[in-house]
Amino acid sequence: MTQSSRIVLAGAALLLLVVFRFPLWRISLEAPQYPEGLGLRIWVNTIAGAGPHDLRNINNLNHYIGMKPIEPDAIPELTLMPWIAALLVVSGLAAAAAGRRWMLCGWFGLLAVLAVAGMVDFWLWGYDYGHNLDPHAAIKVPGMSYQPPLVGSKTLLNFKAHSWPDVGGWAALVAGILAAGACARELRRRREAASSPTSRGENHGCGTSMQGGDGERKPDEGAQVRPSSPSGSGGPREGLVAEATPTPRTGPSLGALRRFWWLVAMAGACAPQGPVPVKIGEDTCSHCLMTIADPRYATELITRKGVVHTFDSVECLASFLLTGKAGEMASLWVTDFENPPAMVRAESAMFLHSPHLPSPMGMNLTAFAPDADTAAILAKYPGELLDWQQVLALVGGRRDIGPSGTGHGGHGTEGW
Amino acid sequence: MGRIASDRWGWLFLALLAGTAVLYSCRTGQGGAGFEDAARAVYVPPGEYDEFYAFLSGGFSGQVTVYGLPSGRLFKVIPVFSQHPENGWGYSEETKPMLQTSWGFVPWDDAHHPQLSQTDGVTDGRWLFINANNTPRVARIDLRTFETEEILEIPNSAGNHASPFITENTEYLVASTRFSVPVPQRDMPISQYKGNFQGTISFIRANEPGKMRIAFQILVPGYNYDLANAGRKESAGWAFLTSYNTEEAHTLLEVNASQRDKDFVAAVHWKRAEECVAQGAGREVAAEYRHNHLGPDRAGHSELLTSVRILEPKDCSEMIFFLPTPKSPHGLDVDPSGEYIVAGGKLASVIPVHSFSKMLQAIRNKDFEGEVDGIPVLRYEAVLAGEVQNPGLGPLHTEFDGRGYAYTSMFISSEIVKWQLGTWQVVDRVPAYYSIGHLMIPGGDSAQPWGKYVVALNKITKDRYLPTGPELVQSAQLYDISGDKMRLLLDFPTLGEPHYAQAIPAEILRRQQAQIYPLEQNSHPHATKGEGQARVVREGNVVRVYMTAIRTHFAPDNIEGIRVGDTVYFHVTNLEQDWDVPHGFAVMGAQNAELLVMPGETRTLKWVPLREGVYPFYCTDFCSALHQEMQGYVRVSPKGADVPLSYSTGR
Repeated sequence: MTQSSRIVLAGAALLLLVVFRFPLWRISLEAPQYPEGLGLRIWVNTIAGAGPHDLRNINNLNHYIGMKPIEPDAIPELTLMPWIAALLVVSGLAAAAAGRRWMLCGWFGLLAVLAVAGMVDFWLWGYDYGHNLDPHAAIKVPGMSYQPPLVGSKTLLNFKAHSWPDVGGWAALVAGILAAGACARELRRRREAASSPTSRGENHGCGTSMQGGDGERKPDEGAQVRPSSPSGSGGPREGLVAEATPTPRTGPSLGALRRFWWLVAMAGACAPQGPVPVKIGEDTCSHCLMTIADPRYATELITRKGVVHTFDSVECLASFLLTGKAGEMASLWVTDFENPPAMVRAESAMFLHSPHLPSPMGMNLTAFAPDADTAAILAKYPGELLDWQQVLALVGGRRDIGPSGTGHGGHGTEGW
Repeated sequence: MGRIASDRWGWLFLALLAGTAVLYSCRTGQGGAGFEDAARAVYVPPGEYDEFYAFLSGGFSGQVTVYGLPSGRLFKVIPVFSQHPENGWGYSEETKPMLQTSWGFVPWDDAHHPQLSQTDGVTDGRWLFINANNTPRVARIDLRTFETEEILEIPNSAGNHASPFITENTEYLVASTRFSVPVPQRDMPISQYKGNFQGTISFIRANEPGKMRIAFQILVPGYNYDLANAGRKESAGWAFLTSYNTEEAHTLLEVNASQRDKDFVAAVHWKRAEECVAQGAGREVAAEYRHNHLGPDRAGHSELLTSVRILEPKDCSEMIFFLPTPKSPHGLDVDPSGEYIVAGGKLASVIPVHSFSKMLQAIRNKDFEGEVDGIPVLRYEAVLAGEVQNPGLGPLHTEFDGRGYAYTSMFISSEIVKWQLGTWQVVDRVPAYYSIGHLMIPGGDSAQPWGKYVVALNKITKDRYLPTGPELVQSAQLYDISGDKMRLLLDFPTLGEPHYAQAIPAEILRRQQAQIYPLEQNSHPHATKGEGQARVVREGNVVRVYMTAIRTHFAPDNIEGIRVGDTVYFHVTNLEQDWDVPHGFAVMGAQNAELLVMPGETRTLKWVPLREGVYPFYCTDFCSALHQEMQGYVRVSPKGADVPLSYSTGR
């Protein structure tokens, strides 16, 4: 999550401290005989009158209609609520410190669930007070009950009752809105990242804002990439992530989850390191400028400044590198042929160089995860296995593909 | 975006501020327009007179206050049941007997319901009657002198609340018990209330000054009888009372007396009761109670009466009926025609109106739903004329304007509701500030309402005036009811706690006001009708000072020969025969109050000097340019001293 989301979350959590200083809810009563007003304030830990004797006076008035007296000590929720509020504050701050999006959204969810539960509880108490009347009451109006409004105004005999959040309630509402907003923003950013080929120009942490160009994207948006490398720098294990889909638009929850794992993978790094999902059919190859069509061959390069270059093949990635145009490189990613769109670091990947498996730009180079079953691959596609350095050497010897590579071997051809 | 949003919030905030300002101005204005009209409507230019005298009960002050309407100006406090040091009521020897009861001298009471005397159902301006609730009594005030001249105690009563309500030719005051008690009083467990405690409805002959008497008392079930009204015109021979606590609870009545859906209105055919009594029905029962009145000597005389005629329903058939009425009814008001009997069911959601003619029909048809203690209970539907639906909350009292409309006070919703007789439709409502109890239209409880104003008598004042600590005055409001819509004209503070009130066109009373008491008619046994007769007389330890007061001296003004241990009576006669020249009299060391002596009147202050010395006395009512010179000395010598009795003026 972005720094601003973390600040918002922390702010929202701290805003909840207001409930310890101000009432959550206010019920105001208007009647001709009470020009000075009469009311109740629901605090996080008690129910009190708006004025010093209002509770007593309200209880006294209520006895005419047989309503039982409101006794804060008899409402167990009032002993629980301060702890709940404290828990929300602490967990919100912890989530902000952790900076994890699921925590942000989870915190909002928790707040929302507790708020709804609180309102339901409030309604139930109101129902109990309003309906559970002494049958021997002096004033009995047939069909009349005296449940205060949950929110809004209601006429109860000569009283008009108004029920609205007080400062604490508004603070909690604002906290909820802030958290919801931050969560939604995080999700939207992720979705937009998943749907846009270009950099949004916003930066993370210590990075500087970039202008995106063709084939250049920042790796800060939601990923459909599933890092499959077990190696230390490559991200978590495949088994921990949800099933990836090749479509760029994914549901927010899945996206959020994936986004989270990406964040975990990148935790501690200042510059983003990828991989960033490649949008098949949309993104273009930074080297040969063709649209990337085959997900099994997508590769990418992320610079230290966070610029993402995508490529349609291993050979284009290598060629691009060898031109020296890449600038300061942060990471190189290649798609595991057997498991697209999961990407592995180029340095740790295994490459098959086999005429039986042509690659998009004709150099017959295909990437596999380091733990791929080499025997099975070679049995199927006889050829040689290379590491990244060997790929570079191979491509370096054949630098006949390039940005002006039209007229060179087409995709899927065995051109060379 | 953030910028735009904050601008929006800014506008919203400003809009809220503006709204609040508008609300605030409405709050202070209460309707805004028409203040100048209202001010003009209640403005009585200097030197001119109000249209009405209004008599407001003092409630726990025990007195009656006299106001002018529409100005709301206070003219006088008439002391009735409570001592009034301001003019010596209950302190002077002449007035002490007025507060005598079978319990001895009682200096206070709780006065609720003033009632003007009537002739043919129309207020006639002769007398004002009022009840004492705590020590059951009724008083008569003479409206020529605005002075309490007669008080009758009521035996076999407790909480004389439904009292006094007058029949249309002032034949009777109807006075009933709010608290049922053992009749006659005796020692018994409170828990045996039910079936053993009883109420009484007293019919007090009121037509002859100085001769108020209880004609008879009707013994009724042990309910709380709350308010009453006598019939008029066709229902003239009847009186109607509300009752509550037909549950006969003796504890926590707020709950236990609120359980039944219907209590009763009692309809008493007093003409029939008169017949029965004339035929010797009922029994004379021993009871001690006092009758006090100011005699021709303008001194109070208290006599002990020893028996009362008690009538039970079984003694006199067709004398009393119960009309079921929802729910703990409070007020009971009969319309000017005498046909409609309106009960204010204070906990009811409708205002029930009974029909007198339907009631007679139901009695003829014996349309009863039961019987309680020999009293037939009529069927509700058989006597009901109509119900006013959704009138408001807590209907209490109803007055009539003589134009076909009724006005009911709503305690809980704090408003006056105007509705139409016959259609039972609410046509207007207006707030009262706050918690209105009674309301009063001049003549609104008689055959001839003068119906121009209605006065709301409110129980709660709160923010209506500048605050005066925890104890606030009660507030009254004056509304113009001459148009279709009621219109608030004026707020004015009152004294004590006015319950009910009465008002009468000023012209009726103004013409008959006494200005002085003619000296030649002063028959006080200790009057001094001329300065030459001023004297001091010793009768053993009693010393009588026959003193005159005239601008600007007392005679005598030097007195010697009084001794510690003497009881001194200053019999002060005001020799003035000029309008508005009372003289006051106060003497140092007195342990009671002052005297305020009207022209031509004699009043007596008892003085028991405790210490030797020379003590001044002086006039307390600023009577003239030399008022400060109107003084004298009385010398008090030690017990057994041989200073001769002497007195003088100007020597």
